[in-house]
Amino acid sequence: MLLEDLIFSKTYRFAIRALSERGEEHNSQWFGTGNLHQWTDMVYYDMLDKYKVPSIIAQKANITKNSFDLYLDRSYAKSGNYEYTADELEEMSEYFHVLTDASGNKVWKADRLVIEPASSNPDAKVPTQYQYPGIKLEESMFGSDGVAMVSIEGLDSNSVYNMYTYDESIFAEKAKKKLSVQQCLNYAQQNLDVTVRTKGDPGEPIVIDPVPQDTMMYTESDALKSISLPIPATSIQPKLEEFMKSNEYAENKVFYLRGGEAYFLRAGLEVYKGFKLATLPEDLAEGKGRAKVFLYYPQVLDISGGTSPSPAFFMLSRNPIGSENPMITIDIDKIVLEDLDFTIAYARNIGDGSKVVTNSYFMNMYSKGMGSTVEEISLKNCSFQGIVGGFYRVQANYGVRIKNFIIDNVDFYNGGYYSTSGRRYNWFHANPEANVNINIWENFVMKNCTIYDNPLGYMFNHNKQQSIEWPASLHYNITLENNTFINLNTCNAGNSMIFNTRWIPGGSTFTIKRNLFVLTRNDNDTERDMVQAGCDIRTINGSGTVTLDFEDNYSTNDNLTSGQIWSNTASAFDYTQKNTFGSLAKNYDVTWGDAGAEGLTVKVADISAKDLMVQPNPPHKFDPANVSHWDHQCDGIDGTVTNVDKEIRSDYQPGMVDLHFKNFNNVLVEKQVGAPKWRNQ
Amino acid sequence: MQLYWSQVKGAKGYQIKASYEQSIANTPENWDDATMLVLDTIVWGEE
Repeated sequence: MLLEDLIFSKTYRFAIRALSERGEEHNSQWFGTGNLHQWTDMVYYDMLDKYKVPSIIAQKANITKNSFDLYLDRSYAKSGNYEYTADELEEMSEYFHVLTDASGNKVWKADRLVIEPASSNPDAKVPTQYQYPGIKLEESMFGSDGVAMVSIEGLDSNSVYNMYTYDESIFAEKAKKKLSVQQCLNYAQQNLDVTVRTKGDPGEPIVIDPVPQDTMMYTESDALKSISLPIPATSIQPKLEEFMKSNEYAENKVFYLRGGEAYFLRAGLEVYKGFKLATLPEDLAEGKGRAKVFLYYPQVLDISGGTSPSPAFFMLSRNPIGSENPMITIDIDKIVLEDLDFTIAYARNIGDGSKVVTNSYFMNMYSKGMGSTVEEISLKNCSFQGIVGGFYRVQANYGVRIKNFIIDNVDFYNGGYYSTSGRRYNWFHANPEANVNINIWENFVMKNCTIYDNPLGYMFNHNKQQSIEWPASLHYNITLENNTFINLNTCNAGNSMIFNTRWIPGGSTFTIKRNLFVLTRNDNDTERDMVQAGCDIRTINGSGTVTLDFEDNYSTNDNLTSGQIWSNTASAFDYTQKNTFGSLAKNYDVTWGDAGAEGLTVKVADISAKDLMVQPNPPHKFDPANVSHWDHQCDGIDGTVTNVDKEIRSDYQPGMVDLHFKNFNNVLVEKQVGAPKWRNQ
Repeated sequence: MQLYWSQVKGAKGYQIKASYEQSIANTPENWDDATMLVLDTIVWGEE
């Protein structure tokens, strides 16, 4: 059976059954749909993405509650400031018509402009003239520069609109085959990825008061099920889902949780609007403490199915709905999380058995998720426990751009250990080889944070290590300041690498200052490896320039290798032979910070971790022959019990860590190295 | 795309059903058989 004129980028699923001579009741069952438990009984095929198309809609401007302006550029050689490459022009010319305009310039044939409500708000108002077949783009609208400006008015506030131009003659040609409108547009459409969200008023913050429940309902295989919650908590999922879906709520709405209370999310919340979730400031001022946010994921709470689930608190962007083009890029404003303690309840690691390990994330994506441009992801004054699979992961084929990624005063512990080598995914896992526009490190700042004995993989990582043709405007700008890294990943030296990005875009900047690296263990805990690797950076693409501003990074003086912290000495930031920051000046143009190339060296403070801190050692003795859930677990890292396992696991093994300094007469205090809170007397 | 299948003994024909989904999402709720429509019914000898 030949299926033609299918839709670009779509996933098609198939099922088959045999028909019986003996009547319908003797027909076979349907095969091919799968049900998540039999992955092999599932048939689906992904259509390839569409070839390069002219980007006629070049710019969006003057976005208000009910209107916006579009600049259309039909010039043959460019779209706004972007000049098409020779390969792109060749590809586009194969499929789209080129005309000569009144000024004698070559232009793409763009006949109509259509505005549609996005699938996330299908009822948003669109005046009739913009709906399909759309407004006619007259010759007189375009200037001699190939540009036209069109004002779109009469829209709803807080609403997302998708828009495109198309070539009518391509449409008409396909219509002769009696294809549907959608199939004809599939060929004739030019822009694929343009969307606008109209402005709105976020209004007053919403306080979600606690209404704790001790069970939750969920569906599995179309059956409604109930499961007990280990700690009664209040669900915030329905409220946040309603916010995401409804154009009654504008972006940047603030949701407050009550201090000291327990709340929960049930499964990855799709985030495609900016919002803030925080503990109510008044409750913090009264000393009630942060709100707790649990992830209660049914297949983690109940592992009788024996699967290895992949829960995340949040899923960035969303799946396209129905006929929506997956290449549309969703604009998302600020995603702000403040003063919250996040925990994945019953998170299991390799010590619980390989069949039940929890592949958990802070934020993940659907494999077919739409691209997004995010103004900011900000995590401030939070903690994360139970993150076993990876912290943040891009896995889409479409552009994910996070303009600002700020992590300030966040603690990470009681997580990781997915395998005995300590890695499933990574802390910050990008996928630039799938789409050159992916950049989650455009302005990445991690400061005042603590990672304690949380074997999760590389800090910064590409999905594959290969050369990438980044646009000249794309750079990494990564800042790590005043962080405390203790036993970052002592399972495996290779997996403990901070930077595993062999290729980086030209013009990037790395600012690494006043971080504290520590390896420590109890005297009798001799089987626990003391390993820490630095970086693998080999090639600067594009301009071949980089700024390296490294200064006053320190380690304690115990568990060193050749007198310094990096157990794999060839991965040290300052190793000059090859594949590190220290070797880049051999082949590339390096701009140094105030400390120069010497700033790359992680200096050794004249004090051990045990003399510096109240109790920094992993409390449980590691035995490689008897791998245990508790190998990288502790009660808490500040001398108070915060590990939820203590309340919910009958086999709990206590063991406290307290990272507060007990010695204040040292260079780390003098130079203000590491997370500030541990240095406070 | 081209779909292929083979005949099993005793069947008088086949039905194929298909859908295009937003994605293969990782939650059971997204697996809704009701969204799949019968694409073709093939009864041997009746083409």
